[in-house]
Amino acid sequence: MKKNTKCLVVEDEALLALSLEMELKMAGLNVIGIAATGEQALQNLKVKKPDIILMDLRLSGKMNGVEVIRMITRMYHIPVIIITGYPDTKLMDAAKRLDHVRYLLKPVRTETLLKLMAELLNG
Amino acid sequence: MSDIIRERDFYKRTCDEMGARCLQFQEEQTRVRQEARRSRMIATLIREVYQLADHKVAFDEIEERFLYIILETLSADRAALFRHDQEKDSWVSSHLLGCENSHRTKLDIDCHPPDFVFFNSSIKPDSVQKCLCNKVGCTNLLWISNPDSGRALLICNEREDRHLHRPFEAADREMGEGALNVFIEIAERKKAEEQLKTSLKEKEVLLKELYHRTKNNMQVIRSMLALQANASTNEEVKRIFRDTENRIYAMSLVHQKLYQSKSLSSINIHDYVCELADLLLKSYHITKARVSLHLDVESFQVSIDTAIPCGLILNELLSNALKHAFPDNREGEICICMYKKGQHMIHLDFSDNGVGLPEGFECLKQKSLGIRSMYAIIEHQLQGSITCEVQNGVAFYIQFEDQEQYSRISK
Repeated sequence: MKKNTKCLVVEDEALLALSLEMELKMAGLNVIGIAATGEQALQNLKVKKPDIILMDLRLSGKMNGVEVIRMITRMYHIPVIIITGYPDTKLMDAAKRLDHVRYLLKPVRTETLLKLMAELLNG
Repeated sequence: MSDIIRERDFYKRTCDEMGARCLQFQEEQTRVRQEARRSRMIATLIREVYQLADHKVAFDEIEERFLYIILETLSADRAALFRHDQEKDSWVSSHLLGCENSHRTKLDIDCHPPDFVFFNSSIKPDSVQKCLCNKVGCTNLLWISNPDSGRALLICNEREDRHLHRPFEAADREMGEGALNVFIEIAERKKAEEQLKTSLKEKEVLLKELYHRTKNNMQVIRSMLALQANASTNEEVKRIFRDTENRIYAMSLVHQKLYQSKSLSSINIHDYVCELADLLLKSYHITKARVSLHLDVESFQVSIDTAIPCGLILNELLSNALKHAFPDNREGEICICMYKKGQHMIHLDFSDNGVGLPEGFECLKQKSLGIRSMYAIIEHQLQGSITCEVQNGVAFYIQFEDQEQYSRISK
């Protein structure tokens, strides 16, 4: 995985977003934005063009994570890693079927996350 | 003469015909009256028993009322409701009405009568009917069962006073069947309601337990941090641990308030803020005589999604003021004002009359976790705004929308 890979964090819990941002920065990655809602995530996508999206499923705002992922996979070819505390077998299966979507359960170890990011980005 | 006889016979025949027609009309009238009476009674049955079922009455009372209406309607002297016991493969009475002391208060019917037994004492009984009559102690009965629902109704009509005795008719059977179906419908609805209530109660208990355990686990984490802090001789390390302990306390107090609350999904912000402020003062060993706390917090309910971020913000504001605003045992005061404007907008005004901020201090450029996390919570998580004023101390004006409308609980 290239240094300065552009990451977009979509997480509505401020402290979890801050902590994830810090870990990604320490790994040499470039966090181009943190979005708390689906609407903000889509706005960030349009403007900042991230290489990868790290995303929670439960978001504040009107859209939930599943809806946002549907829109991302339809409109962009950007890999998405779902990071969630709610195990949902249906969603896990759906994620497995999608080429650019992976699924991680909280709490996530930084090494696991970085390894998965590298796998997705390096194809 | 013969003309007179013919005329007499003609009138006689006419009178006989009219008499027969009168009798026919009388019988028709009686039948219609009986029908009307039964229709009224079944309407009463449906209305009264359904009304009972709508109210919070015990199922026993509904059963008793049902049997009472049956007795009244059919002028019978005994009625019983049965439930099919699958283990014993017999019908067991769940409620009896009209029984005198000499009658049994419980009845088992294991002779498997057909779904309907319409039997009067004038009819010669077959073996099953005989068996049923022996069990019930009566030779004038109506047995209606609905095997699908496992319910049955038994009506006996054998008064000691023979003048009041009335044999059962086909219409009684139809009415009994209709009444039993009404009762089964009510019974099933009531059972479903009771199952729902039980399930809801279980979930409430589980949720309370979950909040309780979450709070306890947070307290354990706090204690571990306190122990770790005590083991260190470095004051900076101790300070960091204490700050973290207070943040955890702010969150655990929300869970404590949640399991103590009636709704289990919201807490009273006034009670929460008062308790949190009090604890923080104690945590920094500051007496109210030195730093007085003025709380003007409206009493309203907030969901967990608002309460936790609110607690963390207040924790940072109060901790910073207690740590930095009143150095060298300086006296002063802190004011916290919290209120709702409109339906959703929450305002939090925080001020102290301490030493103020150092010159050139910019909150957004601070690297400290406390201030950064506070701004992140307000602007990122709550999508609110914060302004800071330095004049005779520091004042923060924060506003954000109540998160209840975006609550995860309702998603």
